[in-house]
Amino acid sequence: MLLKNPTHNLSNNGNHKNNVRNDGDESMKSWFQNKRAQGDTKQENWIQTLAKSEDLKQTFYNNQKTNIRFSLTFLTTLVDEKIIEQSILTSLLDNDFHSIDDLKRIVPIGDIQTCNDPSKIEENLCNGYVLVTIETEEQYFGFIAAKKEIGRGITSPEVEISVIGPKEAFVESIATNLNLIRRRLPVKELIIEEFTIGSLSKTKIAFLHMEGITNQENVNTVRQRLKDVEFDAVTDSSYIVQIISDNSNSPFPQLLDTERPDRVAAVLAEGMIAICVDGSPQVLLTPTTLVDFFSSFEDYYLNWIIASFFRLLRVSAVTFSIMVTPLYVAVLTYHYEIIPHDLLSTLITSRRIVPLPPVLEAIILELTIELLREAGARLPTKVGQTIGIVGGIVIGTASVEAGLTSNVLLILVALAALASFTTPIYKMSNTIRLLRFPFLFFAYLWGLVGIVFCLCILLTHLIRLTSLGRPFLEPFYPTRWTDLQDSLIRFPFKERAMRPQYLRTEKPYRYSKKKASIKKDIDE
Amino acid sequence: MKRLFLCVFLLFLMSGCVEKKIIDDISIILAVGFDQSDDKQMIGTFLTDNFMADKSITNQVFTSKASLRRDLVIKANRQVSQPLVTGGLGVTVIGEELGKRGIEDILDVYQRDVSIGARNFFVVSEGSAQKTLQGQYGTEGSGTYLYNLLNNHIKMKDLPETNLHLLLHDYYQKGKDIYLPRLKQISNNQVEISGVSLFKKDKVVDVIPSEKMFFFRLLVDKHGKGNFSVPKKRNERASIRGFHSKHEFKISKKNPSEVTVQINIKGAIQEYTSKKLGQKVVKEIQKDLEKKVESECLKLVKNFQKKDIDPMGLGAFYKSRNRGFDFKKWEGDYKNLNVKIVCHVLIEETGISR
Repeated sequence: MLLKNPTHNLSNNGNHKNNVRNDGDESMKSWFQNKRAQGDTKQENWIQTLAKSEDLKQTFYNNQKTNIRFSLTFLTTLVDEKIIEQSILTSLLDNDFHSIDDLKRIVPIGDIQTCNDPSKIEENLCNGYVLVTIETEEQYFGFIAAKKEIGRGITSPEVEISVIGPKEAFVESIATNLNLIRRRLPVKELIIEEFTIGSLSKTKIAFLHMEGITNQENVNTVRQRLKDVEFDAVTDSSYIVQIISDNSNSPFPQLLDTERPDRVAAVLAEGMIAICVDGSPQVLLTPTTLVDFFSSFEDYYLNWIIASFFRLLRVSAVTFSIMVTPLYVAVLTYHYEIIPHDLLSTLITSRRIVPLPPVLEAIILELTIELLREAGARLPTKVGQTIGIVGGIVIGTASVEAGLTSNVLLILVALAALASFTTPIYKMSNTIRLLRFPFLFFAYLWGLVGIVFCLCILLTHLIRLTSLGRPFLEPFYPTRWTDLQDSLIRFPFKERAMRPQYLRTEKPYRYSKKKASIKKDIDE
Repeated sequence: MKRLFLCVFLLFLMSGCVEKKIIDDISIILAVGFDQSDDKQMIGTFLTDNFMADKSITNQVFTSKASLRRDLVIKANRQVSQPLVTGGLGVTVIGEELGKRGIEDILDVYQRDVSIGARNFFVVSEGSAQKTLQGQYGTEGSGTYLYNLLNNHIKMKDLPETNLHLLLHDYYQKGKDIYLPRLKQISNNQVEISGVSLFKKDKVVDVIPSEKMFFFRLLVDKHGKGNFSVPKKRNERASIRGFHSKHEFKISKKNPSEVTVQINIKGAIQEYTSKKLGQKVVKEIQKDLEKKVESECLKLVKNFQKKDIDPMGLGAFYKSRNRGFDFKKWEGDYKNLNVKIVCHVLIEETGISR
């Protein structure tokens, strides 16, 4: 017998009835016969490990015309039984079926493989193939794809929300995701290369680039790095980010992950590379620069003046968010000289009954905010809403009334938290959450000098950082004028004929600027 | 990497050396006054604010007596629970007596203390500085009140700009004498700017009353702003607000002892006590004003020459125009200098009348 325990089926009522409804009496008989002839075949060794799983099932049938005896083996949990019932069994039972090679002729399914290598059996079974064997051809196997596709449908983005523009977001299925991208770039230049990585997870990874646009060196690097990944289970694209980053000891993400297919399509056209990971609704983009993480894709759907304003607002909000509490601590601990006379009374009155030094006060409040945020993220949505109320009203006002914190700092910390939410990319906003703590610490140690010291370290780190070997701080250092036009401010599209220079694309121009500047009004 | 960790570790060890001044654990001196005591010592008056829980501010004044300026702070500190710090100093009041004796010693302290800002205002008080600082002015605290008073008059009115930076600059510049605003305490909660004290070296020698401050500012400062009125024939009077002025010195090429001060004023008529204000009248007012400025300024300059003080910085100006300038000779020349004032007034608007 092929299996250790072939008796498992969905009804499992003890009399080993086959649950495939099309199964005739004859095949059932033969199945019982076969059971009696256990241990006859040499196939036994081929599916030894998988046979321990309860969801492996093998059934024997007799073809109605040729009366040839064949067996189907598959994992019930992976295959779609409808395909087996409607496409495979009907065609195998009713048609002229002599040998495995006939499969391609009689089964109406595109993905059919044949081979004589028994070592491939288990691997293919695990990928949702149905194994077909015939008595007469013991060393020859047929595989028919009958994978069950379960997954959620396409929904609107949840992290990178936009008011205008497309409302589609990636899902967990790589096929759907690739479809979403290909639909937006229906050209032959869009190349999709696939790999399987993860010794256990066998995760499918696709990386996309535009031939003739994307720099070949970048493509080779990505291909090389993906091929070299040594890991057992890759369940999300975030694993890939951490494994293939240039510097994995940096708090800054060097690959941008997005859930918006429109963003992916747009940057592919600019010459970036996209990496899709099966099972992950986030697609990775590389190489990136720091400013990419502060541009929401909605910026491109708005007029350039408005978009530029929002970008500047976002960048200043982030600076404010990192700097404001450290500045408060530094000034109140060391530099009373720089406080304007009019502000002096406000600050001193608010701190009158606070027994803690500014740094402890600030750390307590910052940690409270972080706690609220973390609790809000971990709690179920319905319970999570109350956290906002608890945090905002109860803890905030109560701590001021109790005299543990000053109300000036409470406002500053709340504003800083609010400002940090403006970062469009979630992973970057996490980094910003973290960054203010070292600043706070240095501000406490040496005041403003400490802040400058910390800023120097941060700047040195950022300047040294690379994404796929391309400078991370690019439009600023090294300075590239054309790239600055789409960094803190966004120039109108007619000025943006150049692809980003740091990508070193093979075609530096997106369109002909001359042609674009010609106005062809009908009434002229 | 090891070396980096070692460096950071050492930096942390050193952080204990930094002196902490937490804002609510210090007493910030907002104004300070210096007076001459009888026994060759000095009386220092330090004004700090107490910030009450109901957000009101009360003044607290500490006085001490010592011969060294720095000792004054140390002695006053013995009366205060929280250490007195000088970084918030906005106003320095010099007592009348001390002003007459010389302020050089005080300036020395201000040069050496880095925490004192260069925008600190210096004033000379009528009467003792201690009494002036003991008054209760305004609701925002006396120190802030005095600071704002001086600041506003420099920005909007006819007080010539003075602060620590300019004071030190003028003091150490050869060929220019310093001048400081005067404060007069009217009552316990009233104070006014009563004029400008003129110094020779570091001693007060003369006073310009507040009515003449506009003309004084025209001579010494770039942007004169201020109101003054011109009497015209019979009962007519016009009040004019100057909003831009410039002065320029010109040495006559033929006769080096003749210098022309060219003053240009742009102004507006704010009040006119007569029926009609036509183009003709405006021209007349311009003429009257020019005449008045010329005569008043000339009076001031003549007075400077008589007292041998040079707040306009004519000496510095001559020095900048002459190679190998001899200051000893200049001292005699200054008194005989022929100063001419030429004023040009442009009235740009006369307001809207219905």
